[in-house]
Amino acid sequence: MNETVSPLLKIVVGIILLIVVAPLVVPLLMSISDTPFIVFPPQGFTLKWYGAVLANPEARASFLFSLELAAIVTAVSLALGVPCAAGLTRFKLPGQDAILGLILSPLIVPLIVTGVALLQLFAMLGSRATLLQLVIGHTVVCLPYVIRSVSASLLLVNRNLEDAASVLGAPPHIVATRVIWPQVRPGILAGGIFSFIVSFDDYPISMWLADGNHFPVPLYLYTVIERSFDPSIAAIASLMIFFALLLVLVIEKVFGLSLARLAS
Amino acid sequence: MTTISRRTFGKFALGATALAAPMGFVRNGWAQGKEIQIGIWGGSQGEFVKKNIIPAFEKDFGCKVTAEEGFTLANVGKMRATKANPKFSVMFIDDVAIPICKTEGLIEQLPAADMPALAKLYPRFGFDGWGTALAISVASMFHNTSITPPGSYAELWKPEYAGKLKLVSPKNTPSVFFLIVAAAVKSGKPFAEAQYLVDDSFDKVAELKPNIMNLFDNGPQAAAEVAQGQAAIGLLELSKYIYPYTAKGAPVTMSFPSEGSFAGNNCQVLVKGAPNKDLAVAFMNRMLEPAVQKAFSEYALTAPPVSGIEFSAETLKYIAYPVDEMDRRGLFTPDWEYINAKRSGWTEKMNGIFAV
Repeated sequence: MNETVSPLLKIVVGIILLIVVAPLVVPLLMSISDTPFIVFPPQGFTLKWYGAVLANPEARASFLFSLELAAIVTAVSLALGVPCAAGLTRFKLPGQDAILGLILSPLIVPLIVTGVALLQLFAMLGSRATLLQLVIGHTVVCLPYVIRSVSASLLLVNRNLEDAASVLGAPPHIVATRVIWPQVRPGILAGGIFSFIVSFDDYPISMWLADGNHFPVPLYLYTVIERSFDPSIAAIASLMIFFALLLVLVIEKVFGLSLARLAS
Repeated sequence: MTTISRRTFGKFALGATALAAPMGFVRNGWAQGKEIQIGIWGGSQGEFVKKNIIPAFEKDFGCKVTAEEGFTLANVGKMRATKANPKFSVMFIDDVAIPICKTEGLIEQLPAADMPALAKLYPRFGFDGWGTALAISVASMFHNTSITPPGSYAELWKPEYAGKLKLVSPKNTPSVFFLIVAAAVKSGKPFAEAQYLVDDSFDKVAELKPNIMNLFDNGPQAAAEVAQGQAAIGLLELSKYIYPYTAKGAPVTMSFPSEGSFAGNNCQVLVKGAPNKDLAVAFMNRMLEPAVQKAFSEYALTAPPVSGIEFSAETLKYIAYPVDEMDRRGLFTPDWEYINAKRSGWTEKMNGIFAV
């Protein structure tokens, strides 16, 4: 069925898109300025700032470490979050609301407070394992996103389809993989994406737990801004925008996360 | 007389060399394989410490130094959070925080006998043995070179500067310098007396509001904005954030009004109960050695706290050195113990005045 979109809606969507996307163009323009400090509008044209960033071992190490950290945190958050969401939505447990409140509490408490509390805890335990500390810290923050999105998709699962499959003789693992999984997959995928992005962008937790050998991109970006406000900062910001776009495109290609499929 | 044949002498010589060689290689053998974690600043100073000072120190001592970049308040927060089981051995903080760390039992006095480089430290930068300065910046006004800056801070209150000034955020240390300036302008007294009159000077602070375009919390960013002409004058910031732009040819520089300027002292402290304290002390000593201080100062355009370093005329344009030059420029160091007790109240008042 072809639905016609009203011109007014098109204009409103266009304006919203402009407001959201236009600021992203600014660092792109500033990153090509051939001046020793950031200026807007840019003066001249050069790609040397991109070359400087990509050739910088500190920048590369931070970027690769952030990728590694975000991937581990996403895997751990999904491994813990999916069963947790299933348990909370499918079973009646004593103190269920309290458990949910506890899991979601990192979204309420300022992250900077969570970070310093974790640092205090790890110091009391005598832990020097920075990567493990960062994984735990980020997972605490990312877990609520996974649980919220997976819980939402589990609640929308049509239980009649499961019953029908069981009545027709499908064993539980077939019901799980053929009936439930297709319905919850977008929710799990969304939780995973949220988790990855929240971990990749995190500053307040990393500020307390990172060290010189485990230095995520947001911390690196801050130190670079402190060092010198030159166009290499805009180049890093632009590369992060390109990376986010690439991530969305890859997810779209590999998993087919299109609006049409989500709606279906 | 005992005679030694050439062959016997050769054996002795070989044996002695074999014994002596490892002693040479292990000059700092006690430090081999040890590791310390230190909290340093970000910015160009942090960059130089990470890229130049630490690698050379690690090579000389066969040790590992892990540096974590941060800023004074965060570094104090880290010391507090890990007080029960210290993670850091050396912390870089500003002088403002030394009395706080001392009172809270976060730091310990330096073992002067193990730090020969202290011999050349100017006494005023020794903080009674609770730390040492590493770099001294001048905090003052900065401006776009297309304008003529006022000769006195008092002129900034004139209507001709309406909407042309950037003011440092209350969360940054130089905001205290601004409050002292306001008190000095109101009372007509020097900074040393005006710092105790800040409580009565917030009406003067509020009077400046029409002239403030916005607040800034990042020095390099503010320097870039003033260089682009978005604002005419910024007040106040440390020279270490401004002069690197001046040196690159950006149209921004500092000026020094008649009331005087402030000293921004970047310091190092020894964490109480520091892991591998001997190595931590050796590192702190290294930070004060003349060769390190010269290179560090030239890179960050800050003045060293030790005597006897020769600088080129070009570098001396940007730093106040030696100590009599600091005195000549009237660099003022506030009474931080008094100010720290008042600062949270002052910050709230400033936030109240400049809140949108």
